[in-house]
Amino acid sequence: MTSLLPSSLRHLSLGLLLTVALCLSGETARAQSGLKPTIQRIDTTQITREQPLREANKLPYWVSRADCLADDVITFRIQVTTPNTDNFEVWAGPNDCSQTVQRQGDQASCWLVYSSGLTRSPADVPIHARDLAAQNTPVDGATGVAGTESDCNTQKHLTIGLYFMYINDSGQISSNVIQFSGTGVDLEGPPTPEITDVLPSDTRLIVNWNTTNATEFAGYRIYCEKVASTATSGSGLTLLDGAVVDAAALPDGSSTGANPLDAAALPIGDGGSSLDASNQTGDAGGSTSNGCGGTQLIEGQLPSSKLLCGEESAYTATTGYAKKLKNGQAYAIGITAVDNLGNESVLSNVECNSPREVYTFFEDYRQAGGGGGGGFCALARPNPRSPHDWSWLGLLALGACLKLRRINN
Amino acid sequence: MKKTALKQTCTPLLAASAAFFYALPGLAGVDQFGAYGDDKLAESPQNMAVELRVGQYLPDVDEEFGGSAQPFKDHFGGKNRWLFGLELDWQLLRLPGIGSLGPAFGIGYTNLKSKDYYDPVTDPDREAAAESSTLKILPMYGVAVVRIDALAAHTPVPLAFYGKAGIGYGLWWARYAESLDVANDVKANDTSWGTNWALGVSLLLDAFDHRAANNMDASNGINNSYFFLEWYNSDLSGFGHSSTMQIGDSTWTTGIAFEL
Repeated sequence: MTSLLPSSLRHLSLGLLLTVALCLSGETARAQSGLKPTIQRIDTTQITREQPLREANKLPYWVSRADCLADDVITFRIQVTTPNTDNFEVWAGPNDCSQTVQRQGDQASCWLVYSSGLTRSPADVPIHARDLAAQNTPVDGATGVAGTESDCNTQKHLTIGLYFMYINDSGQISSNVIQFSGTGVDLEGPPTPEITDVLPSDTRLIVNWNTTNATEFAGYRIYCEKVASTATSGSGLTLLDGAVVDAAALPDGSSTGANPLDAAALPIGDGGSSLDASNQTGDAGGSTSNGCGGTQLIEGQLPSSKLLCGEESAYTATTGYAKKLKNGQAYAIGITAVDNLGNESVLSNVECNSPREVYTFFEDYRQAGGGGGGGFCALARPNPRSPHDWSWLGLLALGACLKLRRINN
Repeated sequence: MKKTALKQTCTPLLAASAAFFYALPGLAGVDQFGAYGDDKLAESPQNMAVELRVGQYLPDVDEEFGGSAQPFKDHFGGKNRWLFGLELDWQLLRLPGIGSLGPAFGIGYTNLKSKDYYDPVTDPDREAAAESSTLKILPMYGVAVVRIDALAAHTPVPLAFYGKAGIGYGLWWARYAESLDVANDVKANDTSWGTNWALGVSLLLDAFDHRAANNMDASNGINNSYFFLEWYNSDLSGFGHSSTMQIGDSTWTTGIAFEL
């Protein structure tokens, strides 16, 4: 049969067969040579998160309570030279997870956070924040157990490392191990501050507190809740301690009940807080009163971000302001401390007061008929008939001086 | 023998050196030990004066109301505040042994903390508010300055006298709750024009330590230094215009002046 083919075609067929044979023999040789996969060092610029990445000085790869509740995913772009079909695993732990004893047995302190095949490079390896927070060691399940929302509500501050490796069928490491140490789990807020007093000001309240002396700290958040009040003449308002919120008692006709606060009246809104009302650990929104007649801000619980009405970032600050409030309206005020990851303490004691109009110097000056004010550019025209217009004196003196100097020279 | 030869050689050299340095008083200079040489030759050119000023200040804001109201006194009381200032004089015309004449520019700054109230002015028992507003004033002036230092130059009495006259200008702004105060949509900041004049007496400090004065001149170019006491009138009422806050004052100030 082959003899029937032209000689050129025969040569081509032989060449092709030879090439295929060589390729197959090469693959077999490479597989038999036992080349281990080599995982490249983690490039931090290739790490992404579903939640917004924090600034470099705010532990960007750590897991906060808000990250955990949001079920955040930290994705690492992994580069591997000669990947194979062994299982690719990521272990987390405070100790060296490349040691078998840290991954297996009763003494193990590491826990599995990712396990899958990785036969192509580069590849994305997603690590779930809840799995990092859960600390489900192999005792709980050798293949790793996924973390849940309840794992986010534990008080935990843990510096951990992530260990990237291939594990073969016999449970042994079959590649190099790459450690990433820039992560951890911090589910704790700073110590709770204590409000000493809340004083009225014009459309705002002055909140004073005792500092928390926290070691890790980013600021304070002030929360406001409209509460019912009865007006009294002269000194402002008398608060109804422990009273049930009554819509008719609110001067601006705000709705009451589950959410007596008019969120639109609060300027900061929910932009600052990492927590949502639905995630409160306590029974906020229920029938518990905060002592000012409100039910949203409860001491010892996590407040809703919708009630945020002021912030203060100075570490040493002991005063802050609940801003853009309504004069004459009573408010319950509570504060929390926040750490660098955005973890909040529970709410402080709740105090109440009402903003009041303040008569400043300038207000009284204008009310008395004073004409000053209106901006630096609002220049007054001099009155030409004024007997006090002596401005020409300065110009005259300057002119005389120049003349005398010329004569002298 | 050797000792005698050395003595014969060195003695004339040492004597010549001593005579040379003794004959050098006119070559004034300054080294790490201070100024040396003739006082007259050591004196550097003099063209300007600098005054560092501090004095009490309480603007006459209530003058605008002619006694019908006193919002300033209600909020700031009658206690003087401190005003710190700086003045630069250009001694355009120097009349040796008599004095100098020239223009000057001065600027000062004071900050007054107000006592504010929860109740209107009509309430006889106004309750003080927890938070205060502030009034900041930046008075400036451009004046002609005449300095007469003939007495200090020709007699042992180390006193010089001066007078200033010209125009004054001031910036003021009031702040409340971390921002500019506003009343009925009118911003609490403005400018005020007016007149400024002053009379003062200076005590020439050089008279107390001539050597230190020479050192200062040789090393820093400071010809004379004075302690001064001045009374001045700053009438910043907008030359009688009704829409100007009177932020001027008639008061004493003191300080140190250097002629350079």
